[in-house]
Amino acid sequence: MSRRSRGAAALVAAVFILAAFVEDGAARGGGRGGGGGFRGGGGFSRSGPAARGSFGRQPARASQRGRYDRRAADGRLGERHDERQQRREERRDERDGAWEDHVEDGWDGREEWEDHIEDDRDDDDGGYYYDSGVVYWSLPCRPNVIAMGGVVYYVCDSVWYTRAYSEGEVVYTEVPNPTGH
Amino acid sequence: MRKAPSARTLAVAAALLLAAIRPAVASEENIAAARIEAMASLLAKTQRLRVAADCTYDVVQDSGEKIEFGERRELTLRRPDRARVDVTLRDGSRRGLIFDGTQLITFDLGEKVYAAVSKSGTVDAALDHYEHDLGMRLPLRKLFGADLQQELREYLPSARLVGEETVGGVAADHVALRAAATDVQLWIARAGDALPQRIVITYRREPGQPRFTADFQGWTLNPDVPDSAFAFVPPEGAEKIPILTPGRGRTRGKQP
Repeated sequence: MSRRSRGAAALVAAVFILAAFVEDGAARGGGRGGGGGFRGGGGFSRSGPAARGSFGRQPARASQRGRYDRRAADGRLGERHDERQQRREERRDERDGAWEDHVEDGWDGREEWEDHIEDDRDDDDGGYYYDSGVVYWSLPCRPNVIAMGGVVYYVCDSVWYTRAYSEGEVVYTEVPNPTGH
Repeated sequence: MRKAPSARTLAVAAALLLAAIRPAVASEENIAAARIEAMASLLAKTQRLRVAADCTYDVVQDSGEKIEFGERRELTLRRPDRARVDVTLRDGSRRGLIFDGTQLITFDLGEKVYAAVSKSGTVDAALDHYEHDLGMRLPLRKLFGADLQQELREYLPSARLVGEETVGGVAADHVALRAAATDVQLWIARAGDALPQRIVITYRREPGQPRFTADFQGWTLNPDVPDSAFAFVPPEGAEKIPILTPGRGRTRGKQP
């Protein structure tokens, strides 16, 4: 191999390595919204009975609380990508169904529905709200960050997320598209 | 040939041996229970305190592999209605919790987020709400609760004195007790105030029997703590986020 061809091969290899690095960085840390970096590095779970540091009667464990799925595969708190996609579709169906129910129940407008969503997620409950969905350590892409109505949204592939606390950790949770589109 | 001792002789010897041993065992039980009660009484009645704890905990992965994590926790308590916990993880990131008598604020400086929940009343009620109702993590909360004596009372019959040891340069009684699902070991200072120097909790019913440990440093009882120690000013650009509480069968987006 000539010096020139060796140089070209090295350049191509460097580009591939750089591209892989950027891709990995986007997938892992891109969604942190300006802080912290990747949590749960190496795909290790950080939560468990001993993390709670309680003696005597144990508080309810994550697996017993609602429907949170705390598998840490791929550094995510929730499901793997294919499972997530399926869950996303199910949740869209749920939302569509809820919207249809909402219309059938005589509510009169998308705006009111959006207000209802906002009420459901925020201060009416004093800074917390109930959720039985799936939460994620990180996002599957480098998101668009959109501030709207005092809430910061993270958008990946037309799916909207917000950040929230869950069991003491900052996570992402999927939310309805606030624009209604 | 020497005659073998009779059964009667053996029985008498055994009875004498048991009589000699039993007081020693009872004494160790009494010492252990007394030391734990002294510690619990002191912590429960102390109105103000400050302490740091280097904590570690195991997390058993799905594969069965046991991984250790750790953090330093600094607690400031001012009864009846003020508390602050500052946490530094091993990666240097910082987070914490403040109760100022009217609200619970939890923050994460690395993530630039915080959450605030309205809550009035005593520090015990607030921290109980934080851990149980909001599902947030707060290790060793019971150790600093006003009901610590009640919490430990039912386990005192199992208390044993393991020995006299020195941890962190402090001479301590090493005591052990068995709670419902955990084995608890405490090292309680022998001289002066009966303050815990170290605690190890083993979750014996959990796969892999993970452990939580804390080594306490810098105990300060009844320090002067101003109100400003419990004030929270959100860092510039910090995002206020909600706390997801345990599901109650309610799915967001559906009519309540």
